[in-house]
Amino acid sequence: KIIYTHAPVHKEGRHWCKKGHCRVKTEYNIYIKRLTVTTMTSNSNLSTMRRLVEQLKLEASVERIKVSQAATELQQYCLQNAGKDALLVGVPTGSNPFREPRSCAVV
Amino acid sequence: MQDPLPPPSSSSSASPACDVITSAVHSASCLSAVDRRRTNTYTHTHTHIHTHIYLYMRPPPGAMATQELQINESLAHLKTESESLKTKLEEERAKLHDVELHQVAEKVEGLGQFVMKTRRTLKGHGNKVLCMDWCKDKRRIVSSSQDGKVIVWDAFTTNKEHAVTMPCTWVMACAYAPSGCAVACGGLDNKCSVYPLSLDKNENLAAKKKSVAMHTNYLSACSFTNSDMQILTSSGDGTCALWDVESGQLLQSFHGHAADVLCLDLAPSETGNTFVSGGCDKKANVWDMRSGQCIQSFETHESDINSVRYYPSGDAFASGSDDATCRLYDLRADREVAIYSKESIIFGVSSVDFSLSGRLLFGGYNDYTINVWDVLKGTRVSILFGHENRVSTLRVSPDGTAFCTGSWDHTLRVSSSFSFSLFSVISLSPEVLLTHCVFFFFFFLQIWA
Repeated sequence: KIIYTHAPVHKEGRHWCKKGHCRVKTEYNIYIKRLTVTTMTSNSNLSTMRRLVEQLKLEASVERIKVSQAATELQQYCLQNAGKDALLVGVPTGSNPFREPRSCAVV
Repeated sequence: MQDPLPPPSSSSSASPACDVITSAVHSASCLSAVDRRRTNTYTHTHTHIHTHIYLYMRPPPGAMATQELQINESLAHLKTESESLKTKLEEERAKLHDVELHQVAEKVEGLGQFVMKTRRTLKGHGNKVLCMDWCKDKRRIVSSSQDGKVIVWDAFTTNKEHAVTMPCTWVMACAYAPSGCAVACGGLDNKCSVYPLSLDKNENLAAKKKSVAMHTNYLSACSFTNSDMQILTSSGDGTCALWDVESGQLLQSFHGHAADVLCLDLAPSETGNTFVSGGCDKKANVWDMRSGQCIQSFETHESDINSVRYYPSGDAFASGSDDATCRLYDLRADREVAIYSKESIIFGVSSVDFSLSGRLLFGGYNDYTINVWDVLKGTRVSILFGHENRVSTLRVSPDGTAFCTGSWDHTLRVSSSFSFSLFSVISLSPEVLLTHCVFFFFFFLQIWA
């Protein structure tokens, strides 16, 4: 699967920028994240390995519940709060603070 | 970028055994240097470190050989232990995976298609908008852009209330204080600065700037904790840190990411003291703020995680990544429970946020659109167009009435769901009604496509 990092640019033909091939900073596609890459694969260092093992032990001892139970609780929360969710049910146009301001004529 | 390794001089090696070891070690390090150039990464290898030890410390050859063997043994032992622990962790997680989220949610009513409408367009930034945040009063917005400007807007009237010019460009993080009296921002200057806002519009905000955080690489995200007194920051140097605003002191630092940390989000509850961070190492880590420990770690994304956001109940969080998917991770089940993706979506997600009830997940994508997902069923319910460049930031307002998106097209848009009451439709004249029907017809056609 090809992963594209930059959106297509509509300037004299299309410029599709695939990850790994785009090292050139174009004037409209400078993506700051790749300017400083500091990947440290220090797996072989003794102390980091010890820390990794300790971390894994800690993570393995976490208390877990079943996915069915977790999913039911997520669903319950959604349904309980669905009524208050303005983006879900919408608000009557009168009380929507972002409605277009209507001009009033004073008679 | 890296200093060249000194070659092993023949005069310094005390014996043939030492010579062999150092030359073997040096050739291995040379190989890693070639790798370095090709992949453009730092690789601290075991051999690299040992080269320095052998050249500068020169212990007697017999002891050195046994020391090397001992270290190798324990390293191998630790490696096998870590591998076994990882498989054990996966097994434990898989045991509890009895059902999928969308299967549990089958009985829930579907949402149907949604219509969202842009209510306000905030124009005024001179360059790409990189980050934004809402104030707790549900009306003010702070946004930062590539040209170094940080602007505080009133979203109802679209007026600019305050504007600050930062000394650096690419202000990638900004946050509003819970009290509404200050904003924090930072970016390429590696610092997080807090600006107290005053009612006097003519006052020079830059003069009152307070430098709080210091990192060794760019600041990618910042957020106030429950009070104005503490700030949590994440940086390109791979660490997150908790700072005290008054003194600028580092209270806690969080190490564990192997690459740049791009985003963070605090747990929503008042008493909660955990936060989640996502980084370029494809991992999302959940941290305990008091101890600095990483409690849980999730690594199922295939690319950098650009944004993480807690579910409103605090039991789960969503993440958006460059692999064009959003994923939902449950903290109590300790695993990924849903993936939000489509074959037709190939561009990465830059930011995600939940609606108030958690039923909707909004994702801002690099293909200039905003996709709205049904969290429980895993389907897309709406797609919004309007931005002319990639959507870089997206936040839902604190009371959930609207959401604001910032984009590389220099604007911010405040949108909300479009609903019309039957009464208002009936009261419209026939011509207006007809044009409305035609409009909706084409709108729905676009969504279905």
